[in-house]
Amino acid sequence: MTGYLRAYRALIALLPRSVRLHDGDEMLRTLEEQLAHAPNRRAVAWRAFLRFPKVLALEWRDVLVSGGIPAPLPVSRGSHMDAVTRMLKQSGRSLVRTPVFSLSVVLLLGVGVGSVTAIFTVVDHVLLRGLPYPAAERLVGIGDGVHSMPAMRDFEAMQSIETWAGAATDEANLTGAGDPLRVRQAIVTDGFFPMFGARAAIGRLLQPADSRGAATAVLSYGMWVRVFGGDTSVVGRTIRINDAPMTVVGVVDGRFALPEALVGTSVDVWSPPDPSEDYMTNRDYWMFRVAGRLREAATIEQARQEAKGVASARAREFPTKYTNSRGIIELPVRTFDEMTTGGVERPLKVFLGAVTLLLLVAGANVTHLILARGVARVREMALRRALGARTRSLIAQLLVESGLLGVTGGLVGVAIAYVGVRAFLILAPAGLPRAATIGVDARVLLFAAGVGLITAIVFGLVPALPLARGSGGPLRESGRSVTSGRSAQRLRNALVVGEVALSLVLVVQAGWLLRSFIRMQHEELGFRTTGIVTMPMSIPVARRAGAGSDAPDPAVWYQRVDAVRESLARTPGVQGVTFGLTMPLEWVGGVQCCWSTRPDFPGRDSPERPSATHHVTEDFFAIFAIRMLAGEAWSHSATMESPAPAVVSAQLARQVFGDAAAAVGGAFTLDQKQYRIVGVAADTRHYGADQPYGTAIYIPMNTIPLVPANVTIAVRTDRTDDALAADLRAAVWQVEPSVPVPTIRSIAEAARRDTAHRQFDAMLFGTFSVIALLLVAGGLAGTLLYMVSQQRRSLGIRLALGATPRALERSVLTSGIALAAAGVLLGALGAWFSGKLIEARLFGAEARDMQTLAIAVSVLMVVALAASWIPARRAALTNPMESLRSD
Amino acid sequence: MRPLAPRDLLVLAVLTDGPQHGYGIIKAVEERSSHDVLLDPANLYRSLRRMEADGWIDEMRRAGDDDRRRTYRITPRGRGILTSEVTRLESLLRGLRPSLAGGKR
Repeated sequence: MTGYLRAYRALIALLPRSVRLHDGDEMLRTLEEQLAHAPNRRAVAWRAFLRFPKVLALEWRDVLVSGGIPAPLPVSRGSHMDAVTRMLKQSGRSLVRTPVFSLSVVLLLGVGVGSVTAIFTVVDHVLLRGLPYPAAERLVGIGDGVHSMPAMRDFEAMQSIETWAGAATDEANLTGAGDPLRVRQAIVTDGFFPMFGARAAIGRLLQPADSRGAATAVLSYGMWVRVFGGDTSVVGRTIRINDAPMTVVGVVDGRFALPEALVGTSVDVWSPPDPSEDYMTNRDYWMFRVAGRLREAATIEQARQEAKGVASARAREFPTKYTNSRGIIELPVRTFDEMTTGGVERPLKVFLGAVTLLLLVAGANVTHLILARGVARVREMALRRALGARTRSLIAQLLVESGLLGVTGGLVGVAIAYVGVRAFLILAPAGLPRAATIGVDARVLLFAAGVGLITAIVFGLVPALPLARGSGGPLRESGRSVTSGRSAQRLRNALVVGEVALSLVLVVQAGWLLRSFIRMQHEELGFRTTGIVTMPMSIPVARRAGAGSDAPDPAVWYQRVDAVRESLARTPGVQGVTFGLTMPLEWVGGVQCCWSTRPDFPGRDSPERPSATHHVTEDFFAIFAIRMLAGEAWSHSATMESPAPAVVSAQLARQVFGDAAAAVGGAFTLDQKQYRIVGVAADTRHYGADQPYGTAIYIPMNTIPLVPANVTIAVRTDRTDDALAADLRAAVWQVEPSVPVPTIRSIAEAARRDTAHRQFDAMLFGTFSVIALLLVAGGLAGTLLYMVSQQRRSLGIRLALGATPRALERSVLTSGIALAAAGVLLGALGAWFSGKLIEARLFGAEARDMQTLAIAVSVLMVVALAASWIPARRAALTNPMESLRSD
Repeated sequence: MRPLAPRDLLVLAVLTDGPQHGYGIIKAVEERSSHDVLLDPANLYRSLRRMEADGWIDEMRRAGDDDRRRTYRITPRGRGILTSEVTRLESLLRGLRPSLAGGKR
């Protein structure tokens, strides 16, 4: 069903039951046919939408009237039916008569509702909607990070879990289907597809038998369409993944929603785990993310208890693997929902809070407008009362008016939200889970209409009620008595104070976020970020023949990568080439890459702190301009010696040896292998500017005991021309013609992206604050202008008695400043406490600084002063004679 | 009797050509009015419901259609209404033409 039809169905749902049951289906069918045959679908759909509200109102009127509600009004006033129509017409007319007022209210509501709706749409899709899997509420994730195959089998001891699914993802080369391609491969266990309710579009999915050594693969729907043109004969064909032949057995249904917590946001090829002995029993292959489904009667608490048992049992059996400085490595159990959205829940809620503040400020301005309009309406209401209208019907009319404004404002809000969501998704840094399905739909429409209506009623109807209640007194009194009465002025003032306070909260938070962003940009990364490009790639090596071992040969692999390095180094303009498992600012699948290990320093107090281990070549330090504080990088010839050479970071050297110089010559063991320290490198922020200077170990690339799936090559060059990428690719293909080179990324770009989410936060809050400031200025100016116009007579008298225009000007300015000052005081407190909520998004020491608070306060006071100036001028320009004559 | 809305008049006229379902009516009305009257489902079904209640049209299901599909046909009463309305409009036009031909400025 298309979006239009879904929206229309939502509208039909609003019709009275009898109408809906009789004609609802037919209406939807008819629109469907219209759309199917129309040359311009949009025109047809919008005609149907725009004409709907009127029919909706008429249908409800009919139903309510023929529903046998006794007509409360005398016959002479016409039937009840006419009364309702008349009220709608009257309200409509009255709103159209004051277009500036109506338009302002609708726009204010639109901005407020639109912002809230946009963020709500995102929150709704990401956090509120259940995951689309069978028994999704019973799905749990086990353990942070990844697990080996035998570790997964340990979990099976847990009684509370009925089925398990594990998934490991990686980049791989696909050959045998046209040009070589780099694809995302997911290796999944038997339980995976059944657990997430996946279906096959054609062929079949993986079965338990596949995990016993059948070289089979399942394609993603997108891959099937993109690469194989949706050809059904693909089932049974052989493709090559990292040079290993695999038979395609099926294609996953296109509607399958990826369990992002396990496999990330895209997968091209699915395959079963490698059944080799090594793979099944080696506890060092940490690669699977794991989820399980609770038995129907089991609770997550039971699962947690059992996971504790598993964690301690395996720690007893393999203490070197499953304990660290803090003791046993625990296996936390979380709901799958939480596992999917864990990282974004807090920021999204903060955004939702910020837009709610904005909505409140917009609402306060609506109240200002209603109060100001009230003056004009007092006479109208009094006249109608004099003609015999009852309080109830006057209130009903105000209600209908507010409702009309609210729904219209809601619709404008939907339009704003529609654009806003698009903008949010485009600008938001990558990594928002479940982003693929976000869009404005019927549910969101309903939300917007509801928020619009509630806002309009709370901020529009409530302050207008005194009008209808007739506290306005008899007709002959002028309008002033109601809306310039003390209570109304108090309400007005309170609103301004509230608006100023709420805006200050937004401005201060925007300021803090902005400073965080700036501070982070000035953070020293500790390595060169200009003139370096990186290229990830996979160089597959065939399995070794015979000799009982079925693992590929690391030495062969190293030679081939080194050949690529040499070819790149010969490219014009290239000043140096290095390669490693990963390069700075590279995160793999949202986690810090690299083996985090505990080196053992014989005879020393180990820091017992996991250190990132970076496998790199000897040129790494020179290319990234990482200073050597003591000693020097290893030479290539030394890498074959035993113990192998290594470089440690300054922090690690200080912790273990006291200072950098003392560390040179020291030794450590890592994974039962001996290393000697030949140099101490300056600390770097390998993972980004907001990450701590971690302890790090650098070891030679050619000491890796196995063939890594991926390698990243970094090239130092001052070239920035367009031909660079093509030249680098050509250099790779000269020696490795079938290896894809999907991305060539500059480190400078990576550094920029590293700060992108802070920029986004600051921008979002900045936008909200600017809107809020404009609204505050409008509200304050409006209130003071109104006050001045109401006090014209007394201002005139004061002038006549000898007051100078300057004095009047000052007194109005003073009122404005006083209101703003009260708001600022309240807002500063609010900002300070609400700052705790965004503290996690802030960066640096003293992130919630007073200086920013002071600047924000001054900004608000300047805005308040500017907003008070026009009313003050008007007061000063009062003509005493005119003001005394009028009214 | 109050005058018929042009929309209802067109719907009745369309149904004199034979029974139609909702989309068929919309299309035929569009053609007959040379794209002047563009109907939307909500208004159409509201009209149809009222005309049915007044006995001008009734529902039927054509053999062979799947049973969700509903078609409408004009009743003798509806035909009468249409005829008298057309007659009324024609006499109205006859009355107007001379004054238009006179070219009042």
